[in-house]
Amino acid sequence: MDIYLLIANLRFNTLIIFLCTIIFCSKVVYSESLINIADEEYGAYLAGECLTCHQSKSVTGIPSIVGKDFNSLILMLNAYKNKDLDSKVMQLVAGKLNDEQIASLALYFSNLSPIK
Amino acid sequence: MSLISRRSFLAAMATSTALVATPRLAVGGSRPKVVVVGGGAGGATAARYIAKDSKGEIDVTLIEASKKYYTCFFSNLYLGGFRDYQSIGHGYERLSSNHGVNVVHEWASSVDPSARKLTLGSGTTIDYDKLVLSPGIDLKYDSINGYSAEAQTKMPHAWKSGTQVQVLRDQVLNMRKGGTFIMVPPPNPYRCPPGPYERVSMVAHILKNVNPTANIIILDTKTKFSKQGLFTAGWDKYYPGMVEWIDSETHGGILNVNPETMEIVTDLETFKADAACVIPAQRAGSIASRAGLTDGDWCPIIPSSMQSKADENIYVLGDSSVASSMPKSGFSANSQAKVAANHIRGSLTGSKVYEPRFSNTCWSLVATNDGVKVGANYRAGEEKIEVVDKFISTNDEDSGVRKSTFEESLGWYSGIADDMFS
Repeated sequence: MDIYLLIANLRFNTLIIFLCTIIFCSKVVYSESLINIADEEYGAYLAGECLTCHQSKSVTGIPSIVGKDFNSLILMLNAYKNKDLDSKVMQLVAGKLNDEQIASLALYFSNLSPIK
Repeated sequence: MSLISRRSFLAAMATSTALVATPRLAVGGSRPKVVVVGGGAGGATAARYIAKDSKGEIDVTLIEASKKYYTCFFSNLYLGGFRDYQSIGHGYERLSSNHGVNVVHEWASSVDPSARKLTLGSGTTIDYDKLVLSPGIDLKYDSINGYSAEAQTKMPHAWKSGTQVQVLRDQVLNMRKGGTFIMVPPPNPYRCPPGPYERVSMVAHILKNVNPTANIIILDTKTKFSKQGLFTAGWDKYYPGMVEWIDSETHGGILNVNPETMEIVTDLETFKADAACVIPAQRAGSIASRAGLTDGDWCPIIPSSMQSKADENIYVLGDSSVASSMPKSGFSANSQAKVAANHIRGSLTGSKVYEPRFSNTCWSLVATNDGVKVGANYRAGEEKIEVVDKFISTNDEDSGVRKSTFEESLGWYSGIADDMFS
């Protein structure tokens, strides 16, 4: 599951803070306020940048992000944005996304159906 | 687009995330027509996104002479024996079956911008509302004395993928024991800045296994190159003593080449090769200059849309364009294509035109499981595409990071291939 992958990859010194964020904030902040600013059509446009690498199925080196949970996608993108997860490419991509853009991308990808 | 309207466009962009462009509705109820020239990373992506996202509202025709497109990216991995040749070839069938793109396998010979007409090699003409030109590069054979189209069989440039890369691989494999391979990289700007040096790495990888006493000389036309510290550290580590880089100030310039004797004459001395890769200077694909879109060798564009500065109904993508800080790469062309596609749909159907977003990453393979990368994202300035943020691999990365960088490049390849052709 994404959330376990995320936790496994976190740097130790940010783990505690991050877990607190997940437990105390995720349902309240992400589900209720970010869903309101998410624009799926905008997400579809922004997704163009993701689809240069990410496909509808996972391949060697690049995981699929299609059909993943809205909150997980938001957590992952914020973790890359804050450099809590290692990946030069993803830190670069997420680093310039604001909350509206992150929410829009998460809504777009969470509503797509994965190809088995 | 005039200067004034371009300024208004940018001003509007600065205050909102999206704007609605004035639609140019088709006359007489017929669908607006977009014609795309060139089926590479720029053209195939543009055709696919315009057709896919307009859901049949726009009639999209893609003109590409080849039925099968062999990507330049990863052609070095084929050269090094890391990919088979078929794995870098792609057809256009799914663009037709999945998105209704009209794929025409012909040469595009000329454009009449005032009549908005494209003429094909067969003489057929096609009308367009918007034209996307993504013709890639032409090689300036006369930039090197003694080089020519005919010289390609002896000293292949292999800079357009395809069969020349197969020829080059055969020549490397068949070098005499202890022989010399010479690489002549092109002057800036050119397609795929790290490409010549990744190619050297791949040749070294082959020679290390089959011809370990052979050596490689790079007679550069420059005094520095992309990812230089990463490549030179990699060559020292994996191919010690095999690779010698001689910059243009040291050898004083390439005076001429002789494909018959395999000699390369510089101001410093004459070098004799057993196999050589000579890559001439480059310019935009010739259809762009014939259409009057070039300033010098390349096509200036409006950064926010990729429209030609010479004609607002023509968009120029990829290697042919002057994309300022963005390198001439397949990734860049793919990124620019999405900006152009969004703008074209907006102007033809009234769909939302979002702020342009550009990015690029170039992966290079130095040795088995040792990949390096350089990347950046960009914004559209008023005159230039400008870097926002960037990264580059470092020499202190451990082998696990380098392996995952290489694996990431494999994932990217299958991702971009899908993004172009599926």
